[in-house]
Amino acid sequence: MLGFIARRLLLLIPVAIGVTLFTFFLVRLIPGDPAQNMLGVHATPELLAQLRARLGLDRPLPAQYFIFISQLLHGDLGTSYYFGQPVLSLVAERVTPTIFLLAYSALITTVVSFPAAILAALRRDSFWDQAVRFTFVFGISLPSYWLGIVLILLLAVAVPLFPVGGYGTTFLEHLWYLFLPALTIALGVIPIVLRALRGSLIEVLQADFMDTARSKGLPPHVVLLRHGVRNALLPAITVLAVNVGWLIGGTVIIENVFAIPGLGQLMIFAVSARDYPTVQAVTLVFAVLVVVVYLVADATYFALDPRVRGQLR
Amino acid sequence: MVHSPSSDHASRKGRPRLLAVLAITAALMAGCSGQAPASSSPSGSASSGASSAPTTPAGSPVSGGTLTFARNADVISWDPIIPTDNPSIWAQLNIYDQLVRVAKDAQSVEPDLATAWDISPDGKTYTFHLRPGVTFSDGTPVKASDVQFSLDRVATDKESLWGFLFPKMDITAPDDATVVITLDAPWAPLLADLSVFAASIIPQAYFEQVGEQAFGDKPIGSGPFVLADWQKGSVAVLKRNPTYWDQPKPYLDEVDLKVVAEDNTRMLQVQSGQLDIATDVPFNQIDALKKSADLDVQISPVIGTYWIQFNQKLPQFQDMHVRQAINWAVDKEALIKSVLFGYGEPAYGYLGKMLYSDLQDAPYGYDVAKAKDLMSQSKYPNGFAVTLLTAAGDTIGQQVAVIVKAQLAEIGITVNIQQEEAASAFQKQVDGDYEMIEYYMTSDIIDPAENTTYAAAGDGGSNAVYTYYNNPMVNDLVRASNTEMDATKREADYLKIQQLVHEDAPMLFLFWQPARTAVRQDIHGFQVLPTANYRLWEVWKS
Repeated sequence: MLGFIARRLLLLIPVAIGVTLFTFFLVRLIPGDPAQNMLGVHATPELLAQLRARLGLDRPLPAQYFIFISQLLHGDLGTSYYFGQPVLSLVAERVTPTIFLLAYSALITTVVSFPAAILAALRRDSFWDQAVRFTFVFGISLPSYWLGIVLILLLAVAVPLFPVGGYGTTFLEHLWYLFLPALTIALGVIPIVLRALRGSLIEVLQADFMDTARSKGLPPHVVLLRHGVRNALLPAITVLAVNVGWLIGGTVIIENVFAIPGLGQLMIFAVSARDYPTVQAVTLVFAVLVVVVYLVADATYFALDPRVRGQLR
Repeated sequence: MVHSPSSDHASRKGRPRLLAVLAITAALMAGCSGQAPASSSPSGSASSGASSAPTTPAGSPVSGGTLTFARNADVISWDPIIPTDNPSIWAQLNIYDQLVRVAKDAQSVEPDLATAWDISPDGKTYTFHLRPGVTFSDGTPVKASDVQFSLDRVATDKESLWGFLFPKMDITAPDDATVVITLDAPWAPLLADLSVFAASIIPQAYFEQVGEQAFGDKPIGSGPFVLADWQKGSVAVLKRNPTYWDQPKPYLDEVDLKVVAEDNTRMLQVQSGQLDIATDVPFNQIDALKKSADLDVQISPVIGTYWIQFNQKLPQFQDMHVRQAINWAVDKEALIKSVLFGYGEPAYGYLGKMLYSDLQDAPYGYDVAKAKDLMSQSKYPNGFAVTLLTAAGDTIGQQVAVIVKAQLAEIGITVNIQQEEAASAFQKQVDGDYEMIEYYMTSDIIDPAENTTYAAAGDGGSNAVYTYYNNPMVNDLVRASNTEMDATKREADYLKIQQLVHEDAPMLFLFWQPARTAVRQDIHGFQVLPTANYRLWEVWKS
């Protein structure tokens, strides 16, 4: 297991290099010039040249990339054009709320979708099954931006159970402040996970080994949980991981709506201001987060499925 | 207060679309019926837009309390020479002092760290006498050498984005309480330049001890408040400076400058009482918020002009008849009514409503017949097709574009609206790679010199905001007014410049839009000044 994780972590290096290469050139391909943006209409050719030289933008692109990479290897992500601060500290300050939000929404997704899926699969085509499926298809059809505002109106303004956005300062406050945003995100993922888990559960429930388990005389809950759910979980975990990875980008909007001081807000600003070092750093962090989420999913696979263990060892 | 595509983007995004569509429909109907000339001013446009409603202090100020104040973006840096964005500028003005500061009516400067100043008869030497006994918040005295250091830094440091404001200055500190600035030639806007946030006075010793980056995070000034804590992207906590020179101000013990980027969320927070003040009320929510008993929505005129500019590299726009015709063809009042929900004023010209702005000559009215007549006199009597570039995500800009398109169709001009991401659109403007583009220009100083140099002068460095408008008479007057030390003569110069630019019409002048701030009833003394900043040290809570 440890060897497996270590190998996967090593794989992070080529992924990270690929991401830096990609974002470095992509962000520079967008029209718009950071120096021009900073100086506005006051930019004279001399001022522009001075500022470009100070930011290192006057060098050829490959040279700029080389400088960026060699700084990166020393743990230096560069200095933000706008903030005048090391990008590393800008990112470090904002990464916790984003991770907190993601973990929280993954938790809500799991807590809601797993029981609901088991219920739906056991009573297939019953009223409960239809109700669960309908509710969540409805949920996935709503744009998260709009859903967020509606949740605020319902649960923070009309019935003031939660604050209207913000992050709080203590751990318990974080849990309270981030409930609505995490729920907003979760409502977008629950239907997908639910669907995957319900489908695979139905399949597993009809499998021969379930009959075997039952005929062995095992109690029904053991049959269901150890033999049924455990086998049905794998596809659902994949779906959850893929979606959480995908959501890392989606948090940008949610953080904006709920005034959470995470990476999303920083990213929006950095892109619109053409703050290249910050865009590069945030993208890199997002990429690493995605890889880590997939790694966690794979590790869960590893723990749940002896066949995977056999293949990977 | 520089135009920054990003901050505009942040402040304008996310308004509900439905209302926008309704507003546009209403405007089109008004436009089609042909009975909305400029004279029949739609109710609540110019008049209500101008009436600012600062909270009237109820009783005398009391000290103490915490103000929770949310804005749509965070401070970028607390180093005065780094930022160009409004949230940084307006926050910094509450923790630093300058030699002189802008008076509340934005018509002049008043003493701040300097209690008095003498200007030599030739206009080249300024002698400032510093306020005695002022200390920085770390307890060290404010000395003339700190002033010298700070001003040298903003004018000449390679990191400074504000050097463009200043002429060549020789700054000396003959003693601890006197600063002398010597210029090569008279420079009329100097005092206005020295009152900007970037010319804030910082302690040289502390700055040199901690370095630039640390200073940007943990600043020290001599202003009313002190930065106590800064959780980036979330909140900056300002504490009362107990040694501020203008006691008993500040009244508040603490100000929490919060960041809530999303307009809807910010409004809901101030309604729920989670906030005391929320900036940038979306125009379509003003009337609804005003109905709330606990809230007041302040409408404050600020210096800034919204226009659509013409690229004079195009032959169509080299024809003055065409430029004037477009100005007559667009109904500014209807535009204000539908897009700004009545909260705005038609712009008289390129200048905002500020010192020396020309309020005598009326703005272009709405007169389609006159516009058609001008088109028939032009080289394009049958009109032409043109592209209007707008910034994506800018709701106001989109609404304006749709209405202008409909109204210009009346005089045979076919407008194709093209959307582009804000920074890309700005780059196209700078490169002259556009036909018509929307632009909102604010001023960094209270003097009209800056906006006139960059928007009206053809040789001011930006080709008149890249319109390539170039009138030698205007250029000469701009140069003369920059060195004219006699206020009366300067005012006359500026009147003349504005009349010329008005007639030449290098832009379609649209409107002056106010700042809109939601303030809870127990907050007193809060006011957005014409320079769009606010003196939090005058605010108190009952």
